[in-house]
Amino acid sequence: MNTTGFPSPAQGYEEKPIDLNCLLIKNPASSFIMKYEGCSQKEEGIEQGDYLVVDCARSPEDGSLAVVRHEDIFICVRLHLSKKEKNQVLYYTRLSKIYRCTEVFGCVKAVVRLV
Amino acid sequence: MIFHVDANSFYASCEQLFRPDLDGKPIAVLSNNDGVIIALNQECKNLGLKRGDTYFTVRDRCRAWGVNVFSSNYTLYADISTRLNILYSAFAPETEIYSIDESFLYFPNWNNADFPQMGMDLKHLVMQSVHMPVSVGIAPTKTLSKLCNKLAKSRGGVCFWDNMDKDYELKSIATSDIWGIGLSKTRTLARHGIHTALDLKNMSLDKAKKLLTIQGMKTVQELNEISALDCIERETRQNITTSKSFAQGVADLPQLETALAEYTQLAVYRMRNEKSACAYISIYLMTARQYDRSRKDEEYFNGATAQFNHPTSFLPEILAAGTEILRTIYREGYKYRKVMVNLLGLEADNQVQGDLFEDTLIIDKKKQDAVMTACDQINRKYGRLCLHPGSRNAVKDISPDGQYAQWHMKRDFLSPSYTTQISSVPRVW
Repeated sequence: MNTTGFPSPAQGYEEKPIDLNCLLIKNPASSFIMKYEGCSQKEEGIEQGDYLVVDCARSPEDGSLAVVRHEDIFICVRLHLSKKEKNQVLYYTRLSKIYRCTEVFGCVKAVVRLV
Repeated sequence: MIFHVDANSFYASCEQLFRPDLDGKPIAVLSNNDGVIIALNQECKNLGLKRGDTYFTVRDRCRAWGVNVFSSNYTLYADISTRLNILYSAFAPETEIYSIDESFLYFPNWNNADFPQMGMDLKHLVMQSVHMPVSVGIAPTKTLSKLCNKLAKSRGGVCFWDNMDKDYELKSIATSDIWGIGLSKTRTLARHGIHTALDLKNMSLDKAKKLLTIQGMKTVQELNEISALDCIERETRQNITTSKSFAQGVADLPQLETALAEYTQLAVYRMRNEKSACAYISIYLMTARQYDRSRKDEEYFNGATAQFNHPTSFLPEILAAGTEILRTIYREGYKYRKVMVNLLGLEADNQVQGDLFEDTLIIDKKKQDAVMTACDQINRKYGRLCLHPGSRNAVKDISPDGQYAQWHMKRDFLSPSYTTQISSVPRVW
């Protein structure tokens, strides 16, 4: 660092620029950023190319937006609790078929879109 | 009580994390330059492949069997490891990072606790938060907790020493499987008729000291549930950890930077004493754990890892990287309780092998060595940390510009940096 000349009058007032992580990520250890490449979630306001902030720390509930494993890929869906069965089973709809959710990756906490 | 936590087939598990299509399929990870297999999952072991197989000799078999082969992606492994350590720090009062996939968690003076349940809770926490399978060994000493971890692998992932039929278990474990008993010690012991862990446990301490030196004697004490290993003691350790706990919460970044500078220097000093250099540095920052639900907002645990272009033991370079990480993970408004420095990927600090085109690299390295050797000598003479770097802003921009990064490294099967590059994040459909 150069120390010639007058000290800057702003010295001591420097702050970090705004860090969007503060807003988007509460649990750094369990949060992952993923990119949405599908096209079935337009109704939820999620479009192809959006970034999803996915937190794995929270367990999904009825109505959670989540990233789940569907066969050999990850997909983003709205989960619903079955009202018929006693044990808590989560379901999702894909291409108008209903699937039982077997493996949740994490809950979607935020959607980031560059416009 | 001490927990030893070990991630199962860590590198292979990391490669599988964002590849649901690889679930249940064989995965092998190759060393730098794609030379030998350094990690493999159970499915791959079942095919008869082993750690240490040269890829060249098994390549055809891997293709025929459909083994998924990866070059080592240390960037990914270090990031996942950092996440595990953040979880551990939030779970236990005191932690010690032993290697990229192993840690010790300390619960000093915890008596009335359901330890097996805590072990299961930890296992579930890690599985849910980072999707990593871990096993947990729980015992009063480090040697026994490491031993319990081995047992845990075949017993549902958690093993608590006090619930074991102790002598029966020890009888079926060979001396060579005990932490700290290497090949030469195994041979010495065999000559004296000592073959099992139980034989070793019942050995008299004076005899142990005579046969195995003070290190071996400590192992015998540890087998007898007496804590004897205070810090990491191993012939070539894989990382060095130093940490500073604050009596009162610190919210101020400059104050944290000063503490970081002091503890980075200490870690580098220890590393230089062992004539090692590090390839990575991790910094962890944490508040106190809040058990009161209404005060959960006061909790913050974070950490991050940076990779050097070249293994280094040059304090200004290491501290510059550490400070940068600290500034990145620091968030205003929290009262921090602890800052932790971890130097990873240790290797012998050899003179850099250069060629015609890397003259400047060799000269730089020589100059850095001269500076650091002089500092070490002064500090040795006048007391530790007598000569120290001015922390704040003083070391900016010293790190080299990356022109010799990763030169001629062969990594044909490298997976994306899923968690550290925005262009490589996993895809969701």
